[in-house]
Amino acid sequence: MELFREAGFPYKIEGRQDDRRSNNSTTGRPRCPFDEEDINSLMPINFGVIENKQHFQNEGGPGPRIKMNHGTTTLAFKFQHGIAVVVDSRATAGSFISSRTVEKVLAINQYLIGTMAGGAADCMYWERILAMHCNLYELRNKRRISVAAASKILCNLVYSYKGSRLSLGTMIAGWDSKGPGLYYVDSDGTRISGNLFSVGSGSPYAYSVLDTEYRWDLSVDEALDLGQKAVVGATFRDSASGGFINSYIINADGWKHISHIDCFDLIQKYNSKKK
Amino acid sequence: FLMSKSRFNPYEGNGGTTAGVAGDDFVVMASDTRLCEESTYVVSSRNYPHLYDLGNSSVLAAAGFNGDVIQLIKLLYIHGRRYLYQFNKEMSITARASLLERVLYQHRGFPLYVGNLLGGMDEEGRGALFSYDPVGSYERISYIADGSAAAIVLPFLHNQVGLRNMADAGAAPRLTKERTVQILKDIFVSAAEWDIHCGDSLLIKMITKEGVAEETMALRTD
Repeated sequence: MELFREAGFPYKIEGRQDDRRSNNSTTGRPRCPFDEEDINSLMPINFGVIENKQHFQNEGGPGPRIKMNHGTTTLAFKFQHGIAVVVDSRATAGSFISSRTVEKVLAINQYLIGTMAGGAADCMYWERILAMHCNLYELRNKRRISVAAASKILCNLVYSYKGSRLSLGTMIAGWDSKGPGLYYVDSDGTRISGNLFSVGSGSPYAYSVLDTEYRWDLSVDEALDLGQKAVVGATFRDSASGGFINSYIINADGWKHISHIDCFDLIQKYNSKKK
Repeated sequence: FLMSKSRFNPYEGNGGTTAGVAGDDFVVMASDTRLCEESTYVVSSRNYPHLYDLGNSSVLAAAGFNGDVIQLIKLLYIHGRRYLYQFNKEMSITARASLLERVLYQHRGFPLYVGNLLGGMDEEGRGALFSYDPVGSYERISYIADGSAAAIVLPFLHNQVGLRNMADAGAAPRLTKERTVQILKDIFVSAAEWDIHCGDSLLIKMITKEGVAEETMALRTD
């Protein structure tokens, strides 16, 4: 461990917890019971090092601006055959498209998935930590974790960083002993259960399509079609959404990736139907 | 205006453009060798490549703020040695990619202002290329460009490597290492013409299962 300290490595060794507490005294960051100081997880630190970090995260002022991947449309809804999850695949850094092929549905385990909206790195990292906690739960308790518990773990993890400008808007969807479970969790600390959610910059457009045609008794094909139509509508009007439309279905057997379609092709398909 | 200039800014844009293409059994990484200062327009060095060998035929292309690049390379080097001493083997490219995400995310509160591309051969002998944002979000892709002239290089790669301009892309021949190197040389010549921070010379590293080979080419020095 001396190597790390010599290189100025910002890793705090277990047993020397005083540094985290002193960080808390300046930021007032509430401690999370799931914090694990482990070299393999490499928890983020150094929040509050520079006062008023806004000037190098937003536009305005001299010098380079950090641009992180953002922007999206994701949606999920419960129906009689399970949960349909449909997402786009565009990641933007400012006005530059940093990726056209992002996987915005992150597998937590075989029957639980999390979606990605807001900061791509935040979602990717925290859902990976969530997957670790869910795995440990299964090993310790010899049963699957419930969707409610998994979403609560994530919610508590990000709540302990509240105020540190994390940006996370995710839906935890899965199947447990109570049937389908769908929770919306975000970095403000919101955690709500529901039948239908859409998250991201394109969500108002997706909601308008979903709310018009959503019913509980959809067939699987109708549900996927509705979800795709909603995301396509969002990609059409929202410049931060686009790319490929990925669809998933979750049922008692777990989650399954159904389709990967270019949204341009889908738009053309719906336009040709209009004529 | 004077007040905004005197505000503290911990970062500097040190320029540099990087690109990578992954093929069936190779990865080609390229970068220019100019180091400059964005705010003062000074060229600090004409011989500062932005490609770094990390071990086990993996190459990191890192451009952005040079102070953070140096620190990141040190951290990755130390992690690589730790892994080697702990497990008695070199990190695979997928392990390195996952590690880089966590190292970058650890600095989420005060990010490392670096655009990273990580290239290497995966366990099945295929070329692997990963691109990152400054806080660690990453994805495996087949071609990407980053740095100051990314907006010039990337559309060209999309056209020539991604073949989105061709309706029947199935008819195009499979990409070879030699053709990839030629494509990259051509586009960096144009990038040096149209971006002030790009130029001086081009360094290309070709990664195959035999190892890493290098090639350089001169670019505009103005």
